[in-house]
Amino acid sequence: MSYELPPLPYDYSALEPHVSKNTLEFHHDKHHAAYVRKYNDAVQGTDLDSKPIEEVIKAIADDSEQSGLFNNAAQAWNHTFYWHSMKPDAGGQPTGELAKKIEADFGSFEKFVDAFKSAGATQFGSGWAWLVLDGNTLKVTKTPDAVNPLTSGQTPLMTMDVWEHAYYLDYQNQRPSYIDAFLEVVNWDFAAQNLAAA
Amino acid sequence: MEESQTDYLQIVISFTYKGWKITLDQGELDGQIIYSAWADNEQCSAVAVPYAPSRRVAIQRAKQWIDRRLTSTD
Ligand SMILES: [Fe+2]
Repeated sequence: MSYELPPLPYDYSALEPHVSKNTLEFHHDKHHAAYVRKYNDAVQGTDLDSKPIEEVIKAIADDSEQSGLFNNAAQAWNHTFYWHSMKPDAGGQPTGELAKKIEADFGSFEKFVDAFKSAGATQFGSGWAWLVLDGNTLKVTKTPDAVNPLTSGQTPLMTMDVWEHAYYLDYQNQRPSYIDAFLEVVNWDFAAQNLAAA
Repeated sequence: MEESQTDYLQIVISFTYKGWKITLDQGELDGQIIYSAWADNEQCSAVAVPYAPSRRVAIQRAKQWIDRRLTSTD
């Protein structure tokens, strides 16, 4: 079934100064929109067309002949998940069950931050950094290109896009500065909801 | 929440380089025309160059992106 480009869940300027209006306009209206269009064009008329996009992603992750479709499906999904992983006036530290679980599984919130920053900074080339639930344990992972944790049975809680197009306008090649900025707007409520629903 | 503007790519040129299709897209940023370059092959569709000030720079950086990619996966 065709996947609809969701509107940003906040105004384009809502994440400033951390993520600029210009970046969100290009990233959402051009880059994400193009992935959605490419996915819809490619899935139309195939056996997979009746499935929700998450099912398509899981169904074809290991099929090398479908890697083009997988790429566009996963990029379409990942970006939607990424928009929700940020929100205005957010950042700081999580609370409640998520805070307890981060403390238990990483040792401390600071250790989680170190692991997350490291995953984002060391993902070679293009990709994503994730907080996931793997079994009953929280983990930080990084994935190349479009790959997402749904394909390895993990539950994504939040993600950070570390493709150059996510930060170049604001931070040029300074990916670590963008990672710091992301953590100023990270949406812990979204991550907590995903944990509660897992 | 603002309406998304889904009329997104303004393709200005498209050509093949080392098995990849490079597509230049034109946009406007603070009153200036800027370009981005997509690189597509059978497996991957990527924003190879997010923003460049001219077509020439966009094409040059897109080719460099593909060259790096081919080197890193060889
Ligand atoms: Fe992106």
